[in-house]
Amino acid sequence: MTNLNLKFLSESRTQDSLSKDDNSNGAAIQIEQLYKYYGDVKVLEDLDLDIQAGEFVAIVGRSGCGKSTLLRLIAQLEKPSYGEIKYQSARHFREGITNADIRVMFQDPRLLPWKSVLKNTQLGLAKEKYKFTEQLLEKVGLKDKAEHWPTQLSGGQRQRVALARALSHAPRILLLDEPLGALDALTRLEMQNLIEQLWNEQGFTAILVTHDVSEAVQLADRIILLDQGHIKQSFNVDLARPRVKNIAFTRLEQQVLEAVLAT
Amino acid sequence: MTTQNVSRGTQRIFTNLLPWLFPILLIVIWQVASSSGLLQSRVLPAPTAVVSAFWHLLISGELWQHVKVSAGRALLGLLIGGGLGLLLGLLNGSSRIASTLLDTTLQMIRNIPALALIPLVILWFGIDETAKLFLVAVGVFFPIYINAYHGIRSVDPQLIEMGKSYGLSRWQLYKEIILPGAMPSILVGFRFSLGLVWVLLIVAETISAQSGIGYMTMNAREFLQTDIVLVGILLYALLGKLADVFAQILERYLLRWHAGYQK
Repeated sequence: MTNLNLKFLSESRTQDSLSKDDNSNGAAIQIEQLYKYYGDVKVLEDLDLDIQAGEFVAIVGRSGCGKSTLLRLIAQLEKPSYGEIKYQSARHFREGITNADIRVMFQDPRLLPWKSVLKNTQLGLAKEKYKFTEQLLEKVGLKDKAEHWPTQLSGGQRQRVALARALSHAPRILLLDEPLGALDALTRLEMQNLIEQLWNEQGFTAILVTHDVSEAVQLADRIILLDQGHIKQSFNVDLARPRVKNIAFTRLEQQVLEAVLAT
Repeated sequence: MTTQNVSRGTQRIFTNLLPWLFPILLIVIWQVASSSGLLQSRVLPAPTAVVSAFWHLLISGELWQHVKVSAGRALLGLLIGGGLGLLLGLLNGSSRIASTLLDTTLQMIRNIPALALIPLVILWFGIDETAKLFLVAVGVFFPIYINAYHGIRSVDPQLIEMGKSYGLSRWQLYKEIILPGAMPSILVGFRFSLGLVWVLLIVAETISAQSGIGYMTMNAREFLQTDIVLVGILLYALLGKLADVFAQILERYLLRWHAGYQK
């Protein structure tokens, strides 16, 4: 057993290069020469991307630039036509990353309407982890709605349930596919804060696909601009958290927005 | 305040009684027409005569005997035909191979009215219980089959994708997502079948039977006992309504998550 571990250790890269900070629960993602075709339509082409464990990456771009497809590939909902996506745990480097470590929050909540809020968050979870979901519901502020049906909740509340459901599996990677797109501005701000707070606490790697540049600047460590299946540009967001909309924020937002518009 | 409560109470009683107003009026007219001799009792006996015939049949135990036999046939036929319909509907809805193999055949058979099979059924099974059960079973098979099939096919593929990405096994996927998703449709088929079961039974019991409501009415016809014929007809109406109420209660319980069933 120890021999095996040592072998893994020597093969894996050193922790520092993988992880944003040493305490990260997250997994690193390396994407190499990724291609995705739908029939003759080329969606992603020769894409390389390294994401550190615990990093918060936002992917922006116009509609049809391939950002959702990239997310779905990382989520293993679809297979690449060519190329590879590697996942690597930072702290638990001995363990491989499986599908169970990756969770997706979709554009719409995709809650099961025939299950109560609490039961929804327990979907696919082992019984001994059920306690955990109640805590998560409390964290997203819906403890008193645990026994409600999803149809009785507002759009924002439903997305919060979806967030609790995703996090109940203690994922190493959380993929967010424009989850706040359909929410009103105020609810959206609250959700952004909630996502940031939980990301801080739980240390997963987060990848957010969004068309909202301001949201990307608000949340991400790094913003990737995708254009016709290529990475056009990458922006580091060196702003202190929690972020306030000061001059630096606005300047970066403007810069990213112009780059998006130029594609 | 109290007057308002009282008026609201009377209003509620009024709206509850309103649907019965017309039937009651009809019975009153009927009674008046019969007693005045306008309506011959051979054509249509007075309501009081029908009630007294009902009462005599009830205390002699004859009525209960016939109802028991008919209800037993309805239930068993429903169980066999509905069970098979559900099973095949679920199978064909879930498996493309099964549906390609079987659906065309079933759709073809569906267009044969169950009652057109009567001569063949009599040749096959003679005139005993099996023939009646067969007719009922064939008749109720299709509504349940078609609705189960359609229900499974129309389960939101996004929910299924979510379930898969949340690591549900095939069985869990079926139990947690596909089956509950198809339930509203399955229940529509069930309710439709419940209505159909009585129609089929009436015909099946009038061809050849030694017991059952159909037999009772046919027998009464031989002796020109129009009052008993009417009791039989009204019994079918009553049992049909009872079955429908049961289906409604079932629906309200199983679909309590549905927005349409919440108060």
